[in-house]
Amino acid sequence: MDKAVARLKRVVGGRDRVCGELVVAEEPISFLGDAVPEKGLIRGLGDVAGKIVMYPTAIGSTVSSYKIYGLSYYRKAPAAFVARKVDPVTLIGCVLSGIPLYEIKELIELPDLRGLSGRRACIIDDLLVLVD
Amino acid sequence: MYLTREEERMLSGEYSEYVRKAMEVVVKVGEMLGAERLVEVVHAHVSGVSIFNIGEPGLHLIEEMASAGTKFSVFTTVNPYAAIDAEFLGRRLGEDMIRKQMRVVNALTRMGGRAFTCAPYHIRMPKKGEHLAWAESNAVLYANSVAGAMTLREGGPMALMEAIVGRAPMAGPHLPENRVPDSLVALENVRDGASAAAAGYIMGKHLHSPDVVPYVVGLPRQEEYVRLFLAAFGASGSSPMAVIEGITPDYRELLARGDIRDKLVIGKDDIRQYVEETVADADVGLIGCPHLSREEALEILEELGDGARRELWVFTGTHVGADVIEALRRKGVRVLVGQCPVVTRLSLLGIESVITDSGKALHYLPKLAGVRAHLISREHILRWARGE
Repeated sequence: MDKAVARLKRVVGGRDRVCGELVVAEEPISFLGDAVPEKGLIRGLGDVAGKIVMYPTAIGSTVSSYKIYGLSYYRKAPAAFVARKVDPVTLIGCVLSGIPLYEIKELIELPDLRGLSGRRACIIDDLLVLVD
Repeated sequence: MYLTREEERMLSGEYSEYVRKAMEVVVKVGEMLGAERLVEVVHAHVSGVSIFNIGEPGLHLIEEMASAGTKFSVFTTVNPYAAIDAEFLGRRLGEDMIRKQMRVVNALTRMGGRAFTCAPYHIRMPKKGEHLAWAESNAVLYANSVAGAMTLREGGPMALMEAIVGRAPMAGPHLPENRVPDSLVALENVRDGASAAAAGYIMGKHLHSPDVVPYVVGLPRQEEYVRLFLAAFGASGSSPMAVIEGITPDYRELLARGDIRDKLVIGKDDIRQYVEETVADADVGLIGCPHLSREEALEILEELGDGARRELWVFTGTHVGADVIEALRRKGVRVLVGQCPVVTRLSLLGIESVITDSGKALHYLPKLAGVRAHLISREHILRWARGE
């Protein structure tokens, strides 16, 4: 049965429904240094192409926007980014690349997101829903 | 969002297609940041220049803009490029990489970009209260925290768009209410640049939220230490600003208006985990992250005595002066002007291990340059370079 795990705020992206496998990062992401756009990889998280990437926040370089843009340039874009806290550097990367970006407003019945990596989920309107 | 008549004209395409596109992006991002209007900026600083960082996607984006005849409408400085003048045991970067790098440099220059330094405050010191559109985390932190100017921590391509339209969203540190501290960080035993860098790096590890504003006590007032501290904080965190006691303009008033919720003490043992006391092994000594000021370059010149007997690389911009660059080169130092080895794949030159006094460089060198990095004081690096 579908289960809603988080309420989100849509920051970038116009689609009503985004689905993919969840990849959950425990630590903040440093896109510059960790993202390999041509391979669709983020070091420490593995393959992110077509997946929903959840992470606390992005840190480090202001050049990171180009790494996010690069993921889409090489057609290896994630289905969506879901951040605890959206920062301006990720924001412009998503605006240029068209990768949907969401911010977590509230967790529903689930204090720990870590165990969710590998689960299949959809973002439907403002809800993140497990569908497997 | 409220737009002035001129901003509306930009958005409607009255100026050019590229101004329209840039304005569209600036407005879109501004709306997402909750800005009610835009603010005119006096200086833009663009990051994302090294070909190793931006790759083909960035090269195409920048070249496409330049080939459309796009020009920056405000004073615009840009970050350094990859270290194309670097050489180690006779090895240099490949011609293809150098050609691509120069295409980025030429495109940015055609649009009106200048300086090629990560320290734009050495080119034009921002005034207190001035609105800027700066990318490059160390520069953003310096502008907000030391100069008392106001800028968001912009992504590289956003600063590019803002340089074209001369506007930034009125959000984040452009608004006084977002410049007050919310946490207290006490530094103990910061006694040189490397320990300041370690302290900044640790602070970012703990306080990495994009809207955190720490109030910092215990940082010595030496400019060089402050810059190394902020650069390292920029690498491990995502905040655009710190209020530093004795340094940030109006720090007392900002503290009085703040609401301190967390407290962090960074002590001797924390710092010791990052700073090394002896040079274990190193192929190259790196100083200049962020780019050196003329004063720092002169000090290094003085400290080098008879000259460098080991591979010492310093990096800076033309602002240090041709005389200093020439004098350093005569002492056997490799001076990388307008360039940055930290954003260069140094492993391609056969380099395996480096020493640096920069926490920012320590963070990025293994990932971007593919080398082992050790954090050690500038004094130790210079002693090592002299052959002692």
